[in-house]
Amino acid sequence: MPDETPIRVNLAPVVDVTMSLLIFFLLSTRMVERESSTRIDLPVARSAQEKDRQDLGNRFVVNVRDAREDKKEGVEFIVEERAMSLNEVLNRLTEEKRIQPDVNCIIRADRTLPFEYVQQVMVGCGDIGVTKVTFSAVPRSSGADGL
Amino acid sequence: MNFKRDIPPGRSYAPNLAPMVDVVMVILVFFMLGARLAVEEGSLPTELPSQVGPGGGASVTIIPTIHIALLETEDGHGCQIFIMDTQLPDGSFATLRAILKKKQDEGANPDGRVLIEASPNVEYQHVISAMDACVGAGFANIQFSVGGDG
Repeated sequence: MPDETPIRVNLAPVVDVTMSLLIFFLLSTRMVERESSTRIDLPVARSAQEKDRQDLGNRFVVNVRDAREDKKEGVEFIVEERAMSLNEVLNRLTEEKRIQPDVNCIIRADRTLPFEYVQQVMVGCGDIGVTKVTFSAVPRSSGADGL
Repeated sequence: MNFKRDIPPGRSYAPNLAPMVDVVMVILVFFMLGARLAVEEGSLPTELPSQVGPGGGASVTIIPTIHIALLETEDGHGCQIFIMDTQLPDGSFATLRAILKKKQDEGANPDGRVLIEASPNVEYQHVISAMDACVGAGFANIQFSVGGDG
């Protein structure tokens, strides 16, 4: 009869591989998220509160990007990764408002933009009847803000 | 449990360090990257007047407790700050915050409306800084003038 060797599960490689996979997925999802967010240079506001996505309720995110960097005219409104005109944005918001009456319009705009573009979105929100508007901002600047 | 049974006789038990170091390094990298990548994004909420209907955005009359106006400077980057129609001499948001804080300490209603009116060409950052100053001073009910008259 051969010697009975007890079977031992070596946990180290399991944890190793699991952690590697976890990091891989974490990084890849973050990359996707960052791709959509790095293009917007959010304004700095020290009192901006970090909130969980759930706390913001039904979100409708409007990105307003300064297109002047790309030598284009004016601004780009981006909703769900798609650039569209202000009218299209407001149509989408109207649709959203019909489905979710308490929709929260989150405006993420470049800090260098003239306020009028943000104002246009706000006037649109007012016309549609969306009363909750939230501005995204970063609690602190990575560079010197001087403000 | 008797662990000694697994060790062949005549050999001392030595923990295998290689996988441990391996896992520890991976965990270290995980936390380092996780901390660095945490997207810091805060939010400043505001409410538009609820009685607006189509085209009503400009027609609602708001009687604010405090009225802040922002006008662009000639170079287009800076901004002039007016509080209750008085211009702040240094045009800094720290001063605005201090003034608002003083008003708060003097007994201004923290739920009172603060109306921010910005001319269309003011940089968005300045508007957010003004809002930041209000929130920092303790005013929670901040509204914007979105009328076409600027």
